[in-house]
Amino acid sequence: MSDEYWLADSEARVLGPIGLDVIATLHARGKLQDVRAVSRDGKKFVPLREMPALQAILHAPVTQDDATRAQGEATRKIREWLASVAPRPSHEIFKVPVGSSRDAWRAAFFTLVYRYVPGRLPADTTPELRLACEDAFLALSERMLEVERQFRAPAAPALPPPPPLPPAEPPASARLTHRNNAVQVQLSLKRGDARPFTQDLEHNWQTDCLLIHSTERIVPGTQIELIMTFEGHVTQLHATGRVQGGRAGAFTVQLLNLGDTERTLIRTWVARATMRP
Amino acid sequence: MALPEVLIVDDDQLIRAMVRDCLADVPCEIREADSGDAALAAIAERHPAVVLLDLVMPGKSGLEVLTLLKGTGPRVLVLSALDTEALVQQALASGAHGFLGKPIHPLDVQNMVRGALEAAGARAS
Repeated sequence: MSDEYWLADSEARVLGPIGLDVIATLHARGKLQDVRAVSRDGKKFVPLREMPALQAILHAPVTQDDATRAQGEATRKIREWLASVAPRPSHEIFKVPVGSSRDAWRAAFFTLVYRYVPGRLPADTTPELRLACEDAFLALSERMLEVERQFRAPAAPALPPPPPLPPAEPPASARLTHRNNAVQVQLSLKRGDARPFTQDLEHNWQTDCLLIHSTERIVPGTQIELIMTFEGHVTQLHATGRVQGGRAGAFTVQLLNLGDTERTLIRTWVARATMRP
Repeated sequence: MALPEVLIVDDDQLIRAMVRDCLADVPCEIREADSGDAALAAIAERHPAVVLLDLVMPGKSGLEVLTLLKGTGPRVLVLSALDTEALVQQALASGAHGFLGKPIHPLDVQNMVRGALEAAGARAS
């Protein structure tokens, strides 16, 4: 308890007890701008200036580095939380009594998963934090799927997890539909497969390009409307592009007008697929 | 049958009114408290099923209220603009069942309260 503080603002509203690490992350996000008094026990408050160490933290200018550091801290917290809940039974994670109704489980799941939904994350979320949030989202979703399975068939044994994608599996084949002067390309990627974004040394995710495997020959310059789905994700990638060049059984596409959100989605997918266990 | 009670705890009257509006379609009886101490008194007297709790308040803070309620009281959903992961994790570890960042979205509030009421009902039955 010795490292905990209570902070009071100009209207005597109190936050605490919180540790210095929490204070630092709140300050880095610009959320503590009116701290006037502080306390070590929640009862006796003194002016902030009487605690120089705390004052130094709270008066330090907020920089981009601080914001990034705060996201790093958030990533670490989520990873710690994920590790701590991994061995725990689902009813403890969702904080519902054993034997609760399906609706109660679903409601508790929603309450917990709400802040990790990938589509809700701000565009400036770092790839690491995005990955951690997605891992939390997937971990909670998988727990909920287990619960749902139990409601469907209580006596059935739990299914083993799907085997990892074998490296020798052929790349996902795209479905092509010709529309006027453009070609719509629909591609579904399995979890762990980022090859369209990584296989070509020159035309890859770092240059907003990808390699589409198809037996069909497409003329360079052809306009492409890409719809890409990612296994385990609710978000689809919709993008336009142009065919750059062809090769045996594949062609490369330069994606145009990608926004930060789309780039982050691709970067996150590639990072996850290439991440070492 | 009496409707379950939801207690909105926030020192900002405008926020309390907004949350009350969000819950207009949720079958529950709504009460309000404007401080941590008032919340503790209302919880002891009324035993609400769900508490929507602000973290920064005069007197006892939301985190102190959470600690005092931990494991014994209603289902607590924290409502705060201080939605950094470090503080969210501290609130969850202190007994909160969910965390909603401000500004609030009416559907999120509705869904979370409906869920919390459902879970509270399951525990009571």
